[in-house]
Amino acid sequence: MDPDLSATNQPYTYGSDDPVNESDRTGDDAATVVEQFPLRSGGTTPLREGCSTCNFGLWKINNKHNLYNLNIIAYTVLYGYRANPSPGVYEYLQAFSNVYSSSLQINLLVVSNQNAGFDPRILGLEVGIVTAYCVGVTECPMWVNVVGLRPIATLTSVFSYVNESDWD
Amino acid sequence: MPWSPNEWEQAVASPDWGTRVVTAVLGYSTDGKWLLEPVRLINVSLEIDPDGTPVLKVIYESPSHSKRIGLRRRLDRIPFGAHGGESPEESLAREICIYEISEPLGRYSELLVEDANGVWWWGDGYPTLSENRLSEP
Repeated sequence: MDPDLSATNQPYTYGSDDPVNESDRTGDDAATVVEQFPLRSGGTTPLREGCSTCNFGLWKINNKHNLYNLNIIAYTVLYGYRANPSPGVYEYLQAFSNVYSSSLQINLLVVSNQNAGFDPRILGLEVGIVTAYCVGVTECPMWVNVVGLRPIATLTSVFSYVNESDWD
Repeated sequence: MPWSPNEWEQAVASPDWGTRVVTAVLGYSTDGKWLLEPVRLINVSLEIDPDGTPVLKVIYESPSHSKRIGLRRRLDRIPFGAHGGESPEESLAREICIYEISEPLGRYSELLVEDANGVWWWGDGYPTLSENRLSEP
């Protein structure tokens, strides 16, 4: 915890000569491609390393959403329901169950931005996977990462706010 | 191309940059545009960090959380993407609305800091996520 917050309960504010988190904020490896996921429409979309302050990539998926199982991201991008909420941006949706306990289920949502990036670290390159998370729960349960998963056809009611006609 | 890196630099350096982003956030949220999960904005305001960087403060409610959430976001980071016809502030506002406000908090939920008004804060100046949780014992 930073010194301001522990003493005052007020957020840390950055001074003009502040070295705090500078290396973290740079994200020099953010553009590094970790995986290339095949798409149903042909071609691939990259998963980049990302960083703690990047809004794209593996860092956020791992550390914010507790999702380390890249196989289910690959499956969802290839076979999941798909929506196209804005030009070049796709949402993919797939339900999975635990192979050892079929009552344990998660719905995975993956977002891929297949446009060129504007962040200098990915300038002119495809952004790729922006985020992926388990819908309706605070974070992906650990079993998602450590046991086998089986894709299932039916999505659960957590998608009540989603217009089904938007998905194919 | 919506804007060039040079135009981004000029926009961020302008004295009304923070106000422009606030206006763009309000515009994006009231236009019913795409979000990952529905949210209701309660208040959007601006403050300035000691280094001169404008800071967006958004208080919002989400069906994913029983708490009223606050995002504190410095406005000095370039968005990863931009759409045709957008201004720099519109690109940044869209990215903040989709991938910070409407994206589930995930493990930030464990790090929220409550203020005197019952708003639970995350973002710049608040605790950050640790890495490699999977390898922890």
